[in-house]
Amino acid sequence: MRVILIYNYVLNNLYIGKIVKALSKFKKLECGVINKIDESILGGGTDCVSGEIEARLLEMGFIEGATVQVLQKGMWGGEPIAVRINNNNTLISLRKKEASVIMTQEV
Amino acid sequence: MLKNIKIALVGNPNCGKTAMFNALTGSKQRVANYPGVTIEKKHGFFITPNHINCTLIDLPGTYSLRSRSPDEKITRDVVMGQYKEEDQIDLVLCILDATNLQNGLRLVLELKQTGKPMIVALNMIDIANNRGYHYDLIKLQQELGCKIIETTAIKKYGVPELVQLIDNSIPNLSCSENTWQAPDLEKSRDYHIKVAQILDRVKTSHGVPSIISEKIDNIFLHPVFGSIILLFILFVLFQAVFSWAKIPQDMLQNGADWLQGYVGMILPNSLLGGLLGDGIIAGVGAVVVFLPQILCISLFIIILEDSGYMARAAFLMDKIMASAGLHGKAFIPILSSFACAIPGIMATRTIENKNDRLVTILVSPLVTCSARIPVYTLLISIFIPVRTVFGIFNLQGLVMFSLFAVGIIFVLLMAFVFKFFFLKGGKEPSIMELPSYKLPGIKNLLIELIKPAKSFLRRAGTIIVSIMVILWVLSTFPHAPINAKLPAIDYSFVGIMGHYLEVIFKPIGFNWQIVAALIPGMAAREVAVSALGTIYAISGSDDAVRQSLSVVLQHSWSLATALSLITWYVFAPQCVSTLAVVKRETNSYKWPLIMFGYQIGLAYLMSFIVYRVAVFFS
Repeated sequence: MRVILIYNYVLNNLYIGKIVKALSKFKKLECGVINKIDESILGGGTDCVSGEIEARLLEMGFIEGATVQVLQKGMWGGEPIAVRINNNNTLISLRKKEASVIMTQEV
Repeated sequence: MLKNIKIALVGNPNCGKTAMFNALTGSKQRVANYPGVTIEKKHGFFITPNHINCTLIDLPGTYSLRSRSPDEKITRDVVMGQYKEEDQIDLVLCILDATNLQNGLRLVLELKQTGKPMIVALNMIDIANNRGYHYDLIKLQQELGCKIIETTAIKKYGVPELVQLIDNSIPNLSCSENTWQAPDLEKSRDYHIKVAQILDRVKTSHGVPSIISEKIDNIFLHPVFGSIILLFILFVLFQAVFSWAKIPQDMLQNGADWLQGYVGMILPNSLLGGLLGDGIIAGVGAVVVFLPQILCISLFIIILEDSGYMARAAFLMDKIMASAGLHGKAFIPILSSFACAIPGIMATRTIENKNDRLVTILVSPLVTCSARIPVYTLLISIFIPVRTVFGIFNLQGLVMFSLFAVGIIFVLLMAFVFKFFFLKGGKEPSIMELPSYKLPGIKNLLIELIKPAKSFLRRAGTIIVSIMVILWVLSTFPHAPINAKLPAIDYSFVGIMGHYLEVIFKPIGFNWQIVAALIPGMAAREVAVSALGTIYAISGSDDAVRQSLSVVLQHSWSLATALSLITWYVFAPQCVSTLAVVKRETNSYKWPLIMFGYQIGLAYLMSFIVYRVAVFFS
């Protein structure tokens, strides 16, 4: 199920020739522009209410078209990560699971 | 014209809302609890130049009016006048972080739809201007259709002007229709677009993020250095709580002892003297001595919180805490519980999610608190031989250390159990803001420091006094007959209860004397030691009691019984003050009862295992 979802997702985005990368795969200091926030990529495998992760990300300032940069990574398994959105003053910290629903392309 | 108005204070987390609340109302504040939820009902009062009495209601910080938890629902319901504990509000005061307007403006757009009159404050404007964020206020005012003012709450900049603005707007406060609907994902994106358009028009220059904050983060959030710094801060906190707070603590203890002695002197052998001295003064004294520790921990927490470090600490601890299902922020309460579970439980207020907070509250009494140490020390020194194991370790020290370790292991274990079996609903994505670093304001710090002290003392003065009186009555009445051979406590309710309850505790190796000592030991764990002294009819100073008690206990208890009692003390809810605090913090009897139940069950089970294993091997 999940494999198909990811496959569809990659297919949907590759046809326009862009390289799509989840925010969770970013190295430290890497930048990107959000092109899609889509919770369904997790295939419903979250403990939260459906749509909650996406809603919360939107509320914290993640939105299609915003630039994101990973500034810090945690010690164990690079989790959590601290992200700067649109060169804002505050950072947002999130875990890999939440970051994996944020799809980006190169600046 | 209105003489009294109600103002709701709303804003994102970290926007300086509490600083604004303190700047506007100073010390004229009243804190109570909303029924049924864990959040505080914070009311503050101020008077405008035109002599209008304003009641300011500080509501929980939120990013949206969409309610995600019962606590956040309050913000929405109070603003809309749908909350039955609060009257209709007349005005909304929305605080925005001027360095991060996007998230704030989205909340403003939602608030606009509620139809309530609103004033918007661009807070922390000094930092924003320094970083090069400038806005065209007049244009922004037109875009939003409400009055806007620039403020820096911790420096009181713009606060008198804000009060004037509120004053001026009072004559024409009127609500329009409430058209608010919970935003779905599409609507959330619409708000984003609208905010971006507004910002495009009103922003005269986009600032740069704080370079200093970024540089500090490179050290403070560094996987190695960051952890070392966190450990150092924790070490200083420990040091402060255990050593520095010890001086005023000893002074309070001596004061209580002196007062108790004095009462005993002027009212010798009288019931009133006993009630006053041994009941109330000793009981309240045993609680008030924790005040310096509470002040100490609160001071640390407020500084860490206001400076922006707390969120970093949660960031560093996130992975470890997450493994037990706890929030990163839970580590400060758990750490504080090493001193005493009471300040620890009070420190859980920084955790916004209700279930995360409840889990942290429920497990914090399992941390080895300082009141257990006298009991451990006594039992270990009597029953554990002084022997060197593995060449370097002292067996007594090793046992003490393992008792601490068992405490911590069970904190994580029980948190896991609660989180994954009972409180699993309402799980939230762990997304958190890391605000830029700033210097805490001294005045704000003092106002915030008084709050926990006040609520703690009020509790000590009410619930705890009554419990102390009850315990005193139980261990004093009925009186012993004139020609009694046994110590007086044998004839009292405590003695009677001890004999009855012995049946229940026999399987874990307790005799009736232990059971009877555990009852007054509910007042505070360490009281059990002196209670044992009373029951075994040893009198004299504390030290003398301890000395002769070891001789008596060595002969009357088996090793298995002693180990079982130590185990009991690791888990059992031997502290009514903790239960009273849980009652107050959760505002229900359900959670203290659940805490009492699971701790008793766990204590009985573990003691049973330890006792049986020890009996088997001896």
